[in-house]
Amino acid sequence: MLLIGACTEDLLQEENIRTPVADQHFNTPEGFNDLVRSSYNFLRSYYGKEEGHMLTTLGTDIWGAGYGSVQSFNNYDGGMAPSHGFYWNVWSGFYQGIATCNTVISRFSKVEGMSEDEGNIRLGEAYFLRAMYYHILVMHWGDVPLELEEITTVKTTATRAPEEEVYGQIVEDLLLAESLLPDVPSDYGRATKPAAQALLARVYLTTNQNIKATDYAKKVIEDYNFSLLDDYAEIWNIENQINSEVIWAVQYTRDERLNEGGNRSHLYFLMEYDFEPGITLDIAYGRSWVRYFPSRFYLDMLQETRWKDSRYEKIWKEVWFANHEGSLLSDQNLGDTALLVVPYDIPQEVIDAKADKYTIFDIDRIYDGENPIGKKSRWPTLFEKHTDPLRSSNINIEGSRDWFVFRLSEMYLIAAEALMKEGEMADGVDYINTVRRRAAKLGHESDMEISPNELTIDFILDERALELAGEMFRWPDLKRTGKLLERVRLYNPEARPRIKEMHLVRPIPTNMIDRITNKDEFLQNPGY
Amino acid sequence: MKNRIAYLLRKVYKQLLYACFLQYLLIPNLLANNSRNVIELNHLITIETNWTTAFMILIDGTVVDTNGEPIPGATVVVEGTTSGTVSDLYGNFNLEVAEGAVLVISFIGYQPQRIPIGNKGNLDIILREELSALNEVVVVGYGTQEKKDLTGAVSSISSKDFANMPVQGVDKALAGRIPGLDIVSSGTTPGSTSQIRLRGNRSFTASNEPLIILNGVPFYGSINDINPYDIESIDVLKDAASTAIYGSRGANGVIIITSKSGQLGPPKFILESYAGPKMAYGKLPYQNGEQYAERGREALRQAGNYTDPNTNSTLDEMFFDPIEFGNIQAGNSFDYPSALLQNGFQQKHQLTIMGGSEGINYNIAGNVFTEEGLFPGRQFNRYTLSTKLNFTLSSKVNAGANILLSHNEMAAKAHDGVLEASIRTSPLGTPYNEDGSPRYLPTGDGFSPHPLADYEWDSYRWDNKRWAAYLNAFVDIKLLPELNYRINLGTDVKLQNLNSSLGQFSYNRRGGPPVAGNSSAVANQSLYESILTYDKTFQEHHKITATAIHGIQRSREELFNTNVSNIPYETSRYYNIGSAEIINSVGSDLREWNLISYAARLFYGYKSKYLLTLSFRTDGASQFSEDHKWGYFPSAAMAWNIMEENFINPSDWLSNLKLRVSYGVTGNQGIDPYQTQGGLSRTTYAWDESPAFGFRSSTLANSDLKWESTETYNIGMDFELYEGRVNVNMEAYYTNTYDLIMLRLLPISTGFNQVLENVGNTRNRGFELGVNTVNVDQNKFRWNTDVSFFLNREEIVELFNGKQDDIGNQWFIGQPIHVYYDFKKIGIWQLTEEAQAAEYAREPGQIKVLDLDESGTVNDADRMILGSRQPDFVANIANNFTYKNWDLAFTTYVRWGNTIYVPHFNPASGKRYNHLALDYWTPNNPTNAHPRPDDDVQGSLQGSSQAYRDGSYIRLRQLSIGYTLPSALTERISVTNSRIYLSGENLWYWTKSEMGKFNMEPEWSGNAGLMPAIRTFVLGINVSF
Repeated sequence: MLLIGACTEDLLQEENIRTPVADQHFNTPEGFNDLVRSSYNFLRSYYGKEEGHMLTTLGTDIWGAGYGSVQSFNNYDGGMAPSHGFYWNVWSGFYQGIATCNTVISRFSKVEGMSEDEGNIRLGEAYFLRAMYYHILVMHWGDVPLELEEITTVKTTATRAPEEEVYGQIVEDLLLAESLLPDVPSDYGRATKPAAQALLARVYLTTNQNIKATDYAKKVIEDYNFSLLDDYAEIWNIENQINSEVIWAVQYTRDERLNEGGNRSHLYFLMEYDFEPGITLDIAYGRSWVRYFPSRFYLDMLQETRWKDSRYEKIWKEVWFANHEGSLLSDQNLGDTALLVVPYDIPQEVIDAKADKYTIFDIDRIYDGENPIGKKSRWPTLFEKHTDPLRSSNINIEGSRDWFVFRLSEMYLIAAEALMKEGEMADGVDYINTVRRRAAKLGHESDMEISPNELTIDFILDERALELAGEMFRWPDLKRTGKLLERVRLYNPEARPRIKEMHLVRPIPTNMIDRITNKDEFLQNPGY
Repeated sequence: MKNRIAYLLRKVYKQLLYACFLQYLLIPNLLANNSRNVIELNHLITIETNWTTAFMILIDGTVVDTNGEPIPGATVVVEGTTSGTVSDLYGNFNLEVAEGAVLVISFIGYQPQRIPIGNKGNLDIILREELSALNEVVVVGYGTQEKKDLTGAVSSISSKDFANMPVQGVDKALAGRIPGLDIVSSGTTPGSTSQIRLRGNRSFTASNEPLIILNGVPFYGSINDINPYDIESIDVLKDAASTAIYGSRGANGVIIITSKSGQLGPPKFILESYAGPKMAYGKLPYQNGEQYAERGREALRQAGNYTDPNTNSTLDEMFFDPIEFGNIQAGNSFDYPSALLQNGFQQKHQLTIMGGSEGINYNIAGNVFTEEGLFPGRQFNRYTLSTKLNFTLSSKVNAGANILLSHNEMAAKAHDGVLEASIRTSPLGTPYNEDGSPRYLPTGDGFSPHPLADYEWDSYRWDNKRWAAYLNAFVDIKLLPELNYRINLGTDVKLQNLNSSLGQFSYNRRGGPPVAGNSSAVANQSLYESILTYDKTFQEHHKITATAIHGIQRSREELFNTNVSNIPYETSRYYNIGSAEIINSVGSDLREWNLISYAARLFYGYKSKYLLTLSFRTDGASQFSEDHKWGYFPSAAMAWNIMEENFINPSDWLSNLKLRVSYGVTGNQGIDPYQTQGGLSRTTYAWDESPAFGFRSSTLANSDLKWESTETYNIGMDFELYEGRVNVNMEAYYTNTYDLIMLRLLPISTGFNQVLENVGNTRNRGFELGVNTVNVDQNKFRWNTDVSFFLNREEIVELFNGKQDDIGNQWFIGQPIHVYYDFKKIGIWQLTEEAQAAEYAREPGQIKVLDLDESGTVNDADRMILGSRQPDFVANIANNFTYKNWDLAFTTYVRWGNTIYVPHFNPASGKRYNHLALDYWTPNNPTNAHPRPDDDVQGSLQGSSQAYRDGSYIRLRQLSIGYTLPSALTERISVTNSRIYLSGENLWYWTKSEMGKFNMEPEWSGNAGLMPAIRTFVLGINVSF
């Protein structure tokens, strides 16, 4: 009994040996490195995920909402409510990322036993990542809370900082990152100096500091060994993801333990091919979630330019081959063309004549004017950028493609746009033509070139639609250039009647507003 | 039977009474006291025969109960004298008495008999059970008490209440029997257990499960480990005055399970067996091929693809794949569910050996229970061996041991959703080739494999095995006649091993590489308790029982798991996980906690008229931070036996009247370990293909975290009418749970999602009624009825942000914890309403929901509370009839007023999947039931609003009819008792919603699953020899 009494106090001591304890761990070099690696994790809640695609693809001029899409994100109706989980997932993920960066920055001076060089680079990574997170937040939401310190006690208030202040902080962080980061990282995927400069170029372009935007785009183009690949399709060769056109990428991997959620982009742009005769799901064709399809405007643009521009044919898919013996047409064999989906007109008698050999969807069976025939119809599919045949099976949705956040051709387009805005058409046109020449079909290089007087913001937007299709640029591009309302009203029939000025910012997630105690000060974006 | 239990429990009680433990200072001048029943017992044993009478005759007698079971220890006294004897182990007695004397034969719990002796030498005396339950002994925490001395709210059932009904588990045995205890099954899958709630839910984060005490020791196993045949009695402590002695673990009520003890006497063998089928009520009405095709066409019409309002084979050919089209043309339809479902089967066999001699008694029971459900290969098997030993080591020292060894296995050869898949899959497929071999893809849809693929390719395994050993031992030392010390030691070891493997041609792999997984857990709990009990009656009227307790509990659990894919030889199933090419995940974890407790209780009774119980417990838990480890839980209860007052005379119609009132504070079972420390969580990332794991702060430390507390006020009234033939118990209560441990959600801009805090407040109020009546009590015919009825109103009073609703968690002030918050469907937009529908961006055929905020649009503000999982009331009526050797029992159960979500009433809206045959809108069928199918969207807009149903139902839960073979017949084959019976479970039910019409099981603890209701028949036999 006495023995039991004696050890009583010990029994009530709790020791958690399963994980390290925050306070001590983060001040060690190992813990500090753990924290820095954690700062990257939340990029995966946006890039390569449905959240990121939905926020950047829908409600634009070049995409429509397919089956399974959140239609409200496309047509700007009441379902685009603050309570929608996609807003929350991005917002909450990024603020957790920011808090992790803040902890890195506040612990930096307390870490003992780490070399100065390594410490500085890690600090630079945190500044870079914090800027990344804030840039996406401010881009979508406008004024957002600007938290810059590690938080250790319960805090239930929040304050929205003006957009300019947030951009100011982003630039400040990026300039620090630029000074601290190396040209080439110790581990592939860590932040680098050119990545910081590429983001600076983007941010300066957004904030209309066009000369700086041009300077930084040029630095990235000229100061490193990046180069445009000759073959546009080769950029997305899944066996060659580390290539000279990639400035910096969010990392996904084939090791499922490290892949957490994976890059799911392969699901979203794919049409439902597998219900057609002779075809069934397979891993090479992928798993179709039918989220986005090209608008009539976009398909027409692709069709009009394909004679000289290789990008449509290299990246988009029009032909599917028979792979399913159980559902073959009468005059069809395995491996034959089973489905042809094209953005042009094919005479009905040709379609009828081929009915026993393969199925044809021409533009009139895809579109009725500007309105798609059904949300689950067949469309030419943006394919090669996202398809992921390396997944272990077709039901595995966790893809292994890295997400290219900064690609060299974007730097050329930034330079072109910034120069155009400064009235430097001649210089600007050089940059855009470089990108266009690379995209040209053999022998059509000069057809692709444009003259300085053709360089307009609309032309640049069309060029970005062709070059950066499906890479999470469209909505931010339209917003940045002030063209969102105009082009959506022109080309997106579903959004046309509803899109308003208020839609230039997203609603603050309900979950955020519900939790703060100073609700009188922290207001929802108007209209939501 | 009940009184036999009473007798046994009295013995246990007696053993508990004496102890001494000087470390714990009680009231020093407490004088020892025996309770009244102990005096009676002592009296029995010390009766001496008076030899002085003349004209003697020798009486040979046997005392048996109405079942013919001998009653040992019955008192036989000559009226008006002190001479008499006691019946022996076989109920036999010899006594010399004067001619013409009158014998009085009595035994606790039985009505005394007066027998005038003529000149008969042989007497067969049958004692009938006493109707009044007042002398029954009830197990309360750390001791027992006579029912008439109870001050708290305690309800009991004994094995008698479910002995005649084959029940698979303890949860099923309890269902409906205890007012206030709501037991809801979580499906009809073999081995599934129920959700058990006493007086509602009170906690958001901590557990709402009652504490289970098995033979005096907290039971942290699966309720599936306990075999109901081993149980002698179950006592449920409901109010805080009763549960406060369990302190930090008492808030959700305490269920005390006592297993059967051996009895004095030669070995007695009892064989109990039953077996029988489990059958679906009927078919779930799903669409056949023709209906499926027509619904598909309608979905395509809505999407603008199928341009003909009539069936059109050109369009059919375009929109159905060639296989489906061929089967439409041929009029084929394949009925997968019928190919899947079988009749289930269950059986149970138990052999018990019990007996005892002076120094030891024993009860050893081995049991096998197996059950196969409606899906082939879906099995639950349980094997238990339970041993209960009691030793009388000396006149002052008693000891005992309980050993329960349990092994159970659940297995499946198809994934859980196999029935759902069978219904979802297009009935227009061709699932088998002409030679009978199965086709993995019956249609062109690559995502709809053969729903029975798991069976056809034998490609699925799920095996969940558990081994558990629960051991506990006690020693009772009678330090003084009135002071008893008892030490309890308990330990358990639980192993769980869950393995699964899915082959390439399993339904879920869809041709992908094989996967396998393993997860296992090793858990161990140990317990030490010292209990000191001081029991004495002063001056005949002042009865005092004081109890002091010191206890320590330790718990440790280790967890491991591995998941792999790309197993090279899938025939190795999960037995060669190391051969896999890809490791998806590996993990392990540890959870440890300790609890130290001190408690004291004082009972004072004056003439059994005024009764008072005070208790206090303090618990220290390792999970809390330094300054908040200890929680304090006091209680007080008073009772007044009005019948003992002079101003009231017991009359024919009123034989007992008692009022009780109590107040107490109890705690919840604390929090998971490590939660006050502020945790780091691991994050995943990669540098190209190399690991880049990290750690970040994910939880803010909160060192102020303390115990969650529940205070309960309880008023109870018990009365007995007509000499105990009507027995009524009523309770009304109010519980207030405060300092709720809740995850307070933080503005995520801080980087932290939530922090555990003591915030918030819930309330439960309720009323409980239990009525037991003996309607007919004649020699040959007896009919009694047990009614239980209860209602509970659960309410959130305050949340982390005060009296503000938390819509994100669907928690609302003034509402139960689990409510359904959604749009309210008020119909389907009809063609005549086209213009109005368009204002809401809807069109005819779509769901019309209530525009709650009258904004003219459908938005989040239109959602409202549609109902809750809490029933308005639950009632259960059990009737038992015996006529000569026949017995008949049936139980009717009513659960009323809850809302249930039936996902299958909200089907996917496209053509792709098959569904239940629902009445959906078409331009020619202007129904308000279900919306028009639409191939353009995955689900209907506000589709969930069509799936809420009133969950009220009534069912005939049990019906059994038995026949006890006459002893004249059985004695010839040395069998003392033999009963055969036929029993049915859930033979009939009625639901307020259409679930009954759909043959759906109406009882679910969460959302309704897609399972038909099941009725069960068994044929059983019990033999003792």
